[in-house]
Amino acid sequence: MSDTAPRKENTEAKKAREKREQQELHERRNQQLLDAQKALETLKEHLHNTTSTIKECEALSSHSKGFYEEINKLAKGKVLIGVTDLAVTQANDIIRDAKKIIKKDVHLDRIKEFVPAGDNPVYPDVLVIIRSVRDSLDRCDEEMESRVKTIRRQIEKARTAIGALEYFLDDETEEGEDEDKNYPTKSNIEPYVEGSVSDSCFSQFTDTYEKYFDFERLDRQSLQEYLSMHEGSERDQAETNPEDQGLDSAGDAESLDEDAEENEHDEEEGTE
Amino acid sequence: MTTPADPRAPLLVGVSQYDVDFVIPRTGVDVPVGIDPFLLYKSRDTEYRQLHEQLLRAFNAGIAAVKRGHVPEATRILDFPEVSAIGLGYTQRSKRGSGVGTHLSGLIIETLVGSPNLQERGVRHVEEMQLLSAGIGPDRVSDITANILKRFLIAYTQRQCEIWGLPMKKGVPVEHIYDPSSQQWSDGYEDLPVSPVDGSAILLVPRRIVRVLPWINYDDFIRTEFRAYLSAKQQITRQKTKKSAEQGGQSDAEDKLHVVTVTRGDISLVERYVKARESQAAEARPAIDYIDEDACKEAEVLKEKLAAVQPGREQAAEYQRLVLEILNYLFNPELIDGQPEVRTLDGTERRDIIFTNDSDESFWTYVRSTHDGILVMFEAKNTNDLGLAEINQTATYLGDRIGRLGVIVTRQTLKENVQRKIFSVWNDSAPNRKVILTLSDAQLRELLDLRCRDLSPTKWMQSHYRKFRTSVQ
Repeated sequence: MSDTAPRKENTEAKKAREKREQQELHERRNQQLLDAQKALETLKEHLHNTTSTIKECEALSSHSKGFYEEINKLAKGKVLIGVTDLAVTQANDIIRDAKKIIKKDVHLDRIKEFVPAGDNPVYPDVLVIIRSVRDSLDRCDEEMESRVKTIRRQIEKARTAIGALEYFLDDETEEGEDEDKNYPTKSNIEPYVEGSVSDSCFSQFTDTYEKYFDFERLDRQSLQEYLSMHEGSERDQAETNPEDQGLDSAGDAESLDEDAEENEHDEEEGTE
Repeated sequence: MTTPADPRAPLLVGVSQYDVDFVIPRTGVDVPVGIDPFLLYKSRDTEYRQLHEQLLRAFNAGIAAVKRGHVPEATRILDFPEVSAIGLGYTQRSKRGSGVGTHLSGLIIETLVGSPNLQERGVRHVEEMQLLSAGIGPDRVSDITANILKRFLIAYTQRQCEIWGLPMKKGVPVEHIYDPSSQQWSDGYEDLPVSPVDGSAILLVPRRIVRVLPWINYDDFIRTEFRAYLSAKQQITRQKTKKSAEQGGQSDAEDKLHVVTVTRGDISLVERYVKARESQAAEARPAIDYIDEDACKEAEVLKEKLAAVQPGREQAAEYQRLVLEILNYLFNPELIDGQPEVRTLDGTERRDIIFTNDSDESFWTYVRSTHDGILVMFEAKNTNDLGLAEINQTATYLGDRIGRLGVIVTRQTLKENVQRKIFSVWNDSAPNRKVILTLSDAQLRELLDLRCRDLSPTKWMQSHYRKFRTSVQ
């Protein structure tokens, strides 16, 4: 036997291994695509819920501002006089609505609805409480705005990852480009991405300084970690509380009106 | 019952006036208050309101007889001798009547005959007679009422004697009992307590319906409606001038004679005044000024009694009675006619005290309207270890009949799991929420101290209720 036989065998084994690895990679990319699409849906739902909360917050804030101002006017010289039944009802509605919208605000949690039990609360008490509720609404508004920004960036990142994965899995790509598919450039991916491409998904070749979609990073991390907006080290990303990622309560989210959401998204993109 | 040595001493010994629902009669002297029918009229208690209607029907039947010209019939109906058995009155004299019955009847008939307007209109309140007859004053209003409502007073007295264990004598003669269905007066024999002085019958009167002056009264009429009338007629100055110039002022009797002449001629004056008083009904409160005992001393006595009752089944009955005394001390006349009940439910003895909430205080008014009932149940649990079963039992008991607010009076502060159970009763009973409040020994002592300092136990209860409602949010 010549030594070419085992070499041929090695070549064939190598080819088989490479084929198997290719197949495994293909399957992994497919799974990543499914996961990313699911995560995108969840993020869209969170965006919808958060923007709804902001609207509720703004409406209640405006209502409570008007109420506060009127009671403040009426309160002049009425330090120890009880407010009217209507004012108690409205104050309690504001407190109740605020508690529905705002979660995990210890100061709001301490506020309770008025229980007249025959004697309505006096004007200063109503003012103090409504003022506290309004402060909570302001805090909530700021927090929600910041959350919306984060979710939008996460959506952009998810769409970029989906685009990259679709590009990778696209069979219609010409022969010989397979090698490039592991390091797709921005221009490769752009046709596959709905909206803007997220720069945070890309790394840079050290020699050519060209940017490429970093599949290795996607492989190293769970999707939650990957979509996290902590741009520091991967360890930081791993330590990030999943609750902060907006991915923890998809089950609680309301069903989406897709068209409305798309319009909303388009508008949002236009403003950024 | 023993005979007290002090002639002013109450007939009932061993119980404070603060702790019972009725006015405790005194020996040898009347308690300086009278029955005010207006307090029946304004009551939320259906029974009391019906009594007022009964009073008016009887009186207006007499007026109708006068109108028909049947004076003997009117004289028979409008026959109101003094009811000495109630021991109430404004003059320093004994319980024995002064024989004013026939005189009063004559005054009423004379007034009616002299006022065709009154015959036509009838009366909305028997107190109006003070404004129309010179000889009829607040004590006569009380007499009229006591006569017509004597059957109620007999039943009330018997009930109170059962509650407080007061001895009753069998077959005590009682005269002049009115039967509303036949409009006849009759005499009878009833089981009633008797005076240790002369052996005559004693009738107890609820504290809730007594006032020093009736809400509708002559003095107030003169100060308000009649003054306005005179002012309108520009007579004040002329009258004053005339008074000083002639005899240095008319006597009160002459003044009243002048007033009733005017009112008989213009019944609309009475009508307007009565309507004004009706609109101020919330301010008409029963008297408590006649209670001349030391409130703080009584609070201390009650605290000592509470400390002496040992927790457990053996002294459950004593505890229930003491709780009734304490609650009467704290809340009467806001919560009235407290009646202890003993019943067995699922083999467990229940000792409740049901009060009628006839209060005008804002908190009790709120309870009456928010928790659907004129009754408030207090359940006396003489235990240091109130359990979940007792809470369930109380929750089951609250409802349409006795309302949806109940108070468990027990010896110790509740354990956390029991308090949580009370919260769950509230949460699970929507939309008709049931509220169970609790009062421990420590809280009762705090309330007794408040009452001693002349502060309001009702305000404390309001705050207690608020704490519950805010905790359960």
